[in-house]
Amino acid sequence: MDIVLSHIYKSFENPVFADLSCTFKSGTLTALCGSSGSGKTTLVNIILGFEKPDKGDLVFEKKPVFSVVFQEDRLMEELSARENILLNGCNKDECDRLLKLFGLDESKDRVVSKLSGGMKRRVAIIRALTYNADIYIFDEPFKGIDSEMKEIVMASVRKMLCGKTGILITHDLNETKIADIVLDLDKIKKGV
Amino acid sequence: MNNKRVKLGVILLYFVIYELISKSIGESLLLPSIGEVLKAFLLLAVEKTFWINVFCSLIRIFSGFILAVLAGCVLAALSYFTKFGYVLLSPLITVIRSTPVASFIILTLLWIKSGYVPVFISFLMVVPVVWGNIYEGLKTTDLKLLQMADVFGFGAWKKLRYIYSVHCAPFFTTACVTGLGFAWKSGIAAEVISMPKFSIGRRLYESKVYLETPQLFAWTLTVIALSIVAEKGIKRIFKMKAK
Repeated sequence: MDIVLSHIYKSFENPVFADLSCTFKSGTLTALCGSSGSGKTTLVNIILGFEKPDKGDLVFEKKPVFSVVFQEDRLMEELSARENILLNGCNKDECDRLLKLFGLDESKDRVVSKLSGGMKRRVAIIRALTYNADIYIFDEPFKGIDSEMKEIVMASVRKMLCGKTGILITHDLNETKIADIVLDLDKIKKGV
Repeated sequence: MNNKRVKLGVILLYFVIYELISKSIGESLLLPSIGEVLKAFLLLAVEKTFWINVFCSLIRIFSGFILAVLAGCVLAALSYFTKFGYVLLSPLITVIRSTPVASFIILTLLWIKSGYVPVFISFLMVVPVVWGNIYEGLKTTDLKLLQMADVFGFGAWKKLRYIYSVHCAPFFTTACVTGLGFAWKSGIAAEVISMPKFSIGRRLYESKVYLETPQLFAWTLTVIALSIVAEKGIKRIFKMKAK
């Protein structure tokens, strides 16, 4: 499912987007890069419907189902890692497989509040990956994950999102290697 | 010095001050000594009617309290989730909050049987407390978690169970603990005025009429003790739930 943004205007105290147009192609994982404050998360919030653009159009072929790794983990702190994931109604075996693969097998029954930042991030990724959606949005998903585990997680994300529409927001150029397309928001805004 | 010892010391200090004042007045009709109050209490406690009175008051006050907790939660949810709920309920709650309880008691006596007046008054005084706390809890629920719930297709039950109820739990505890105090005070006041056959309030009133000041203090002591036990009980229940 294509995501088409045309002539988007959005300002808070300062203008974030002025006449921004871009398309996220169906079946491709697009890495969205850009400097801090360039509006990456705002753009995603507009796509998710959490923010309304001041002007402009956002077009989907049909009402999409999203799956998201939020910038903040947005996990239920008093529930265990496994419970958090299963709340999305996913298959238990798939959940356990990914927990094991992501090195969370021993911590899966610990409450999320007791997990480290990197562990919480991995839980949030599993929750998003196991949810059956039309569009996957991952906002800096690998932040805080140690380098060895990061490679495993990145490979899994690449594999599981193959052929699906996805947006990967990242600052790290190394992370963009799992994407099919790289979009630099700073350049799009300048019309380069 | 640990906290418990300090508390005990303070209580003892107040007892000593009370006893000194009582001794200096030297008139049991005005201010009985601690010994006289305890004696009156023990004499009351061995009577069967004492326990019937206590039981009936407990039933009335707790009925009003429990109904108020349920109604307060429902009304708070209505205020939060519906567009005009808050606009409709807010002035009503303000009126209830600012009207003297005695006015409500006398008015209610015109409408319902005396035995039900304390139930209704406890209910009326606790509803605004529960409503206010729960509404505040709902209003401050983490919007980001609610967005997450929408993304992952949580239904109303899942949102209530895992987001709203978790966030509102401390507000609910505060509402119940504060509300229980209100229920006791207003419920007993209603009993004093409406005088149901078996009630602590009626016994308080009769003690005053017959100038039985030690009994009056003994009944007051009973009310305080029951109130403390109920408050501790409710706190313990919430602590256990939290664990």
